[in-house]
This record gives sequence, structure tokens and C-alpha cells, in this order.
Amino acid sequence: MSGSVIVVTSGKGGVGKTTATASIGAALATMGPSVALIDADIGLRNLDLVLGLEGRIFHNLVDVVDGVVDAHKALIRHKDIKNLSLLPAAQSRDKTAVTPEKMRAVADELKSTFDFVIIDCPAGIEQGFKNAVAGAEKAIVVTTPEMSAVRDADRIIGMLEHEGIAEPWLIINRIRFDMVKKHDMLDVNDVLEHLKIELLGVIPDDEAIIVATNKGVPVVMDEKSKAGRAFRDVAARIMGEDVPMAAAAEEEDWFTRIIRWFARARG
Amino acid sequence: MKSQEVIFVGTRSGLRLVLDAEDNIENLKRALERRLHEAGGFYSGARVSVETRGAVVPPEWIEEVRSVLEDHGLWMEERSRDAAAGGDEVPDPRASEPEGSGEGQAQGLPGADTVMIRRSLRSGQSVSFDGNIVIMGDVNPGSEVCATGDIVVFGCLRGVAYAGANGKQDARVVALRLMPTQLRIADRIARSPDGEVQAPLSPEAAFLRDGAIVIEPWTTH
Repeated sequence: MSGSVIVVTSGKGGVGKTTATASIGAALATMGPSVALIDADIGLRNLDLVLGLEGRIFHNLVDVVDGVVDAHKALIRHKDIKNLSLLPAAQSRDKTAVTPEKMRAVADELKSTFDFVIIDCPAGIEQGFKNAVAGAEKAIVVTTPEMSAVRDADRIIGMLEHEGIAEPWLIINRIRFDMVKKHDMLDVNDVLEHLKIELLGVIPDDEAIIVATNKGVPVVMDEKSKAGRAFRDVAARIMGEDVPMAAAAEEEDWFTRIIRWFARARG
Repeated sequence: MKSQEVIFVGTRSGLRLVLDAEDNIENLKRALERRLHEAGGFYSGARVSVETRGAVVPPEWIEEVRSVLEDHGLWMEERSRDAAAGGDEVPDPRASEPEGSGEGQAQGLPGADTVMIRRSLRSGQSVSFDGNIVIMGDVNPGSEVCATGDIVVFGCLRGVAYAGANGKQDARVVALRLMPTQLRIADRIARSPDGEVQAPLSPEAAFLRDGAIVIEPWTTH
């Protein structure tokens, strides 16, 4: 059996790579497959925090790369989601502690026993990026609907092609449909028109993410969260299910809908 | 059988032979023989570079073609490399580094003065060529195209385009949607107006008139 290795990347920092990695990983794992997450952001590790696993770290990615411990031994099993494991980054080292070859070896080893290996890529296009993408077969590019993030995503897509990872998937994160409607924010089509890659999901801006991140509980565990639902849809699409893009834009509250109905009836 | 399987194109440095990969080698050889026979020694002594069209032409074909050409006193230029022969230069993202060591320099066909790029340029990618550049795709913001001749973009040009890089005053930049970050033609620079730019609805051309860059809807005069 051999799983697939997916890198989550963006170029720009702060667009939600780590949140996306944790959410997609958790959503996939709750659907059945086994998932290993690798935090490749050495020196600025966060993924453990978002998953609420900070206190359980014993070994890390650099230990595995240095041969101190076997990759499977260094994994931390998630406390609530039994199919989900994490290989945390080292906090006291930096990106130069790992090489692309060694990263590929770690990813290869993990994919022999996991259905999905998801790598959280650091921001930037330097060594850390090259390490993170080395072992990946597929990439998810995360962007927000801002020109700066879209521009960096474009750059990253070009670099992924150069690394041999063609046709990455796109996630548009933190979209605010109220702003899109007022033309104050790029809409999904603006972003797609520019990047021209396959859309994997659109994640609405959601306060539940901040709460979830602070609590260390993946947002997909929150049944009521819109972002959580959007990430569950993303996971289902990765599994090959044909989930329609939730038209969250249409999801108006009943009050707006009645007003609109009246406006139409009168107009 | 089509009559156009064999096309000779004259260029500054010799002849260019265009092979259609959809055809079969026997037809090609026959047509080439006929063509050379009709020319009655006109082409003799000429240098020929071979360009392929459509799918990848098997290497054996090239050897067959070479022997036909040599029989008629022409000689075939060594193909510099496969990517160049396919006309599908892949710009190297690393070429964006300012000190760029010539990477991203497009490889044209030997003898040709136009390079064809069948893909989009993404942010950070750049392409430069001593001649004209045709891009079948978009030129995204953050990418750069630099040509000593003209630049034609069959797509949306949103990056930086520099035509007539050696000072050619009549160089042009043409794009289906011309909305560049910056345009340079010969020694002139223009940039898009600040603020939101409406996408043009039709193809446009930029060129120099009285020492200033002007943009007009593309027409074939």
C-alpha cells in the first residue's frame, strides 16, 4: 500500500496554511483514512499548537532526519482523532537542518503506512519550501482573496511546476461574501481567472477558526462552523467525492432573503 | 495527400524546414524529394534547420530527412536540443534573480528570429530573446518578457513587457488583453494608470509615436 503525499503551500505567510493542513488532515482522518501530518516549518512550529498536541512532543522532524529516531516512532497520535498523527517540527533549529533528499526519505517512509501524508510548508520560497515540496506528489496552494496573496500563489505555482508538481489544487481562504458582494474583495472568479488551476475549496472567513486555533481543536470538529464544513467538503473532494462548491454566497439569513423577496415583488 | 507537408521558410541565416508530425515519414520523404527536385538545385548548399510541428517527431525521421537533404546537396544543422526543436521553451523560475545568469534566455530555433512559448508566465518567471516573442498564454503580474523585437501575447498581458530592447524604435507589443504593469519600448517606459484598470475588450497594440508609447486597438492596417 502506498499513500499520497500532499504539500500545503502558499508563498505568502499568514494565509492559513497551518490551519488548512490541520483542518484537512483532521477531516480526512475522521472520514476513515489514516493521515500523517508533517510540520516542515522548522524553527517556527505551529501545527502542534493548532492540533492541541504541544505538550506531547518528544521527538521531532530533525531527530528523524538526523537518524536519532525512526519516523514512525517520532509520530504523535492525536488525542481525539485516532487516525491522525503528527510529526512535529523542531523549534530550536532552522530550515538548514533538513535537506530535500532527507525530507523525501521521511515522506516515503510514512506513505508506506499512511493513506495520506500532508506536509505543512513554511512561508517563503527558499530552503524551507524546497524541503517541504521535495517528497510531495501533489500540492494544495492556499491563498486569500488579496492581490498580494494571489501574486505569491502565482509564483508558487510556477515554482511547483519547476519542482515537477504540476496541476496543484487551489484553496481560497478567508473569503467574505458580504465584501465580495460590495466589490470590496476579489471574488472566486477573479482569483481563478488569474491562477487558472483547479479549485479545491472556498473557505469563508469565520471566527470559529480563531477560537478553534486557540483551543487546539481542529475547526472541522465544530459542526456549526461554516469554515469547518468547507474544510470537510475539501477533504471529501480529495477523497474523490463530487461535492458541489457550497454556494456559501447564497447562504443568506432568512431576514435578508425576505427583504430581497419583497424588493423583487415590488420592483 | 496534402500538398503542404513540406514547408521551407527562408530566414536570415538559412532555410527552415517545417515537418508535420501528424504525417508519415514516407509521405514526407516523397514530398521533400519532389520539392527539391522541382527546385532544380536552387537550394543546393543551403543550411537547413528542421522544425517540427504537432506531436514529437521520432528521431529516426530526422535522420531520414537528413539523408534526403544531403543527397540534394543541402546540409542540415544540428538541432541544439529537443526543447528548442519543440519550440516549447520552459522559462526557468530562477531566472528572476536580478543577477540572472542568462537562465530564462529563450532558445529559438536555429536561424529563426521568433520564439514561441506555449504556456503562461507566472510571477517570478521571465523570458528574454534576441528576436520576437510569441506567448500563447497569459503573462501574469510579476513576470517579465524582454525581446529585441516584437512581443505578441495570445492571452492577458499583466506583467512587464520590454520590446525593442536594443533600441528598435518600431517594436510593438500586442496582446489580446493588454493591461501590463509596465511597458517598455526601445528607450521609453510607460506604466498603467494607478487605481483599478478596466480590462480592454479587444486586442490592443502598443508602439512608439513621436517618442511616446501609445496604445491603440489592434488592426491589421
